[in-house]
Amino acid sequence: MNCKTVSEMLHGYLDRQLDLRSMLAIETHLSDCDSCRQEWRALSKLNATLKQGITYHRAPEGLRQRLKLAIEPPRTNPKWFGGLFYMQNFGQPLAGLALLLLGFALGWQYQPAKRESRQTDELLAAHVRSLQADHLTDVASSDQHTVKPWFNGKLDFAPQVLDFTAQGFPLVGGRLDYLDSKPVSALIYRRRQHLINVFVRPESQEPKVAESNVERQGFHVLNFSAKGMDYSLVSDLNPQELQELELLLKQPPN
Amino acid sequence: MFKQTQTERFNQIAMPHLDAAYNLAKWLTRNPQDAEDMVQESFMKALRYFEGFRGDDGRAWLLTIVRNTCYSWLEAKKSCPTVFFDEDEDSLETQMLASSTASLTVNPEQHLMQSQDKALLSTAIEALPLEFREVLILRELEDFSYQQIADIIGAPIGTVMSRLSRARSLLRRWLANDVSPDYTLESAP
Repeated sequence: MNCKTVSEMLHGYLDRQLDLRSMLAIETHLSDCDSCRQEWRALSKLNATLKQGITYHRAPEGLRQRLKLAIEPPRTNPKWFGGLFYMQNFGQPLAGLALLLLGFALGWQYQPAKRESRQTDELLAAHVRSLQADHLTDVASSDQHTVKPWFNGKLDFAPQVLDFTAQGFPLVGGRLDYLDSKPVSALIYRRRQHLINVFVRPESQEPKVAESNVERQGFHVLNFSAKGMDYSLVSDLNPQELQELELLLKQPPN
Repeated sequence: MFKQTQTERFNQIAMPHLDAAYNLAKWLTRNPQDAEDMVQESFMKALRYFEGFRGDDGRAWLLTIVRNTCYSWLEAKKSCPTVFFDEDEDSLETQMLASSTASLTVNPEQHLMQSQDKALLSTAIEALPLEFREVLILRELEDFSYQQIADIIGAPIGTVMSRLSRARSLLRRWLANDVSPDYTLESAP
């Protein structure tokens, strides 16, 4: 592979979008060629600048409210469940949440889905709910020594809470959530603008679910066990970077 | 028996990506009010077409609608800056490469990191031709793969790759010279 070919493919290499053979070929070339290596360093620096420097414009709250109303207009003669949605628009998200939970519960009861698939559904629903209902964190803090004690007395296990700001995954906070009708701890990390829900509960005695890495509806779910706990990571972040967080969580605390 | 309504499914599949939709619309229209209008129109379209949605990537699906809505609007408004780059022309590429190599010695990226000048970067990106800007945003902020971007903008994957590398080269040049993007844009052939 010559320098011209490499310089053409360097962006694909940077974005990890090339096939394995090309990735390896470029890697070999970079270790031998000073000028290409220099170009590669400059490019990855620029890329880091762009990734953290470009402003992510979040939707204004007014727009969110208008859309909610447009999608689910309040009914003039509400049935009981219509009434609940009506109230939801006016600041009673709990009623809506309860209804949503009821919906899921009933939905599952009639759905002979496999256990793993159901668990994925449940994880996704919990993730989406945490983003929707403005209830991302019960305790919002990037300080692991604030988040960890908060779980005391709320759970019969003590999840490990670590901040990974230095590694690019700052801790946003913690939340109590429910999976499979058991309380679990949810830790929230951020990678750039992507939020990651990390669900932690004691390791299940039942056989492990088959789906360890799933993509659905644009979200990725990563399941694994470590240190006697079952972990599930849910995010719209790409699977490669989710795996970076998996490795961090598996590391013994220093 | 409880039946999940279309609206609830829509709330689960499309609503979580509202920020992504607004972000893309804001970068394409370069105006917050227009961006809100585009998002609102896109969500109404999405709701109408939702029955036909069979895929599993709600974010890519929604952003395709947002992107197309913005394009139609920008075309109608004729405010869309005309692209003067010939995608197949080599001379510009050579020139950009030469200039970017020259700037390497001064370490432009470090300069920007230190100055933390997000505003300069925003100005530079807003001055990029629309076709370059969209691939840059979809890649750097949304982490879409080249294939997903190709599907969203309806172009071959090779085009995505070359637009992305041009967008980055232009930004790198602008940031290195620390000049007004407009100036650079006008002086380009």
